[in-house]
Amino acid sequence: MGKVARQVVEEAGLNVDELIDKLVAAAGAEFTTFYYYTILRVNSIGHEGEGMKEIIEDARIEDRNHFEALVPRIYELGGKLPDDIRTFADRAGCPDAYLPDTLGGVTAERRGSGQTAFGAYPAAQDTAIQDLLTILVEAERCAVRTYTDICNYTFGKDHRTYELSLAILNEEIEHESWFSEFLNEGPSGHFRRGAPGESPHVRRFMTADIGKS
Amino acid sequence: MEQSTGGGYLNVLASGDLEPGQMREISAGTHRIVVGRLYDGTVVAFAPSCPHEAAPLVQGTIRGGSIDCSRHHYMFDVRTGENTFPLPIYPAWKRAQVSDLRLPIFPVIERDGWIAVEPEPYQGRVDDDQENTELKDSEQTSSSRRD
Repeated sequence: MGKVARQVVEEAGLNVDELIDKLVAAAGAEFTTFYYYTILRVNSIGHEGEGMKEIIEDARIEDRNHFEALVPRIYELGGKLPDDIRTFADRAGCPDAYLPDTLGGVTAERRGSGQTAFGAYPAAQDTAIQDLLTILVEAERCAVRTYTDICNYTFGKDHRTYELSLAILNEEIEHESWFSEFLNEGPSGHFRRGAPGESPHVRRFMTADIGKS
Repeated sequence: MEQSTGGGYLNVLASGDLEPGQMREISAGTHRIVVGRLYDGTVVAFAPSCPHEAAPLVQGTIRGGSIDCSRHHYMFDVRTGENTFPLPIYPAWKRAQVSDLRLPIFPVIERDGWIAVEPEPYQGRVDDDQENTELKDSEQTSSSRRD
């Protein structure tokens, strides 16, 4: 914990416990999204799906990076991650990005159901990729709303959290654009990342990774 | 301030006290109600707690015609009460688990410099939603809206 780091934020008029709640919720959303994007990525198959796989991977790894970047700030402010990962997942600030019905969402294994459906997934239909992209773009839009909220909350009062949240917001907005463009919602203004999960905006906050190639 | 205007409506806020994008939580009758103004100027009224986990919606954000709950970013259409996120993108098995995600909506009108609400929510049926829209269009009261 950074004693003065917390004090200066409190003295700026922020409710630090509320801010910690927001950061833990955001970190939970990043962590669960990383998990669900793993499932979405492995189900991104076929002519269209294989083309999307790399971009899903970029978003997936960058969301994990966001989790990594958020955690130090939570502890600096005197907060902590929940001891139980189930509690952490339930506090996630965005809903789970489930596999859509058209990719096995109906017959797939259910939490607590004790049933599996290996070999029983329905054949992918024409709408499957569209549904997959809709899940992805809506998940990113939730993230955009999340970090806009944190930026608004911390602006002018907690410079470090603000700058971190703004960096994450920049990447989430890019993620939204990627999937939105796949859905033909508008022309593309972006170029691909140089490497998967490059995190051009958030990388400088991942100080534990400094020195890695 | 709470003042009857007839037809079951109670004046709860002066029109000038609610800017676009703003919300206020007020008391009307026995209900707590959030009154908000959309960016197109429309006034809306809805229950103060998120149907998901009861977070205070007055701490959320108005986005278009929806309220964005600040806790989990569930979104509800503030004219119909329907969940607009995440229910439409959930798979069928998950939708079945959370099918009761509907935000109670209250009749509201704006006239003579006042915002007035009826302190009983619509019942959340489709025909009520239709009447809600019609009410906003005509700013007329009706004694037969609720069963």
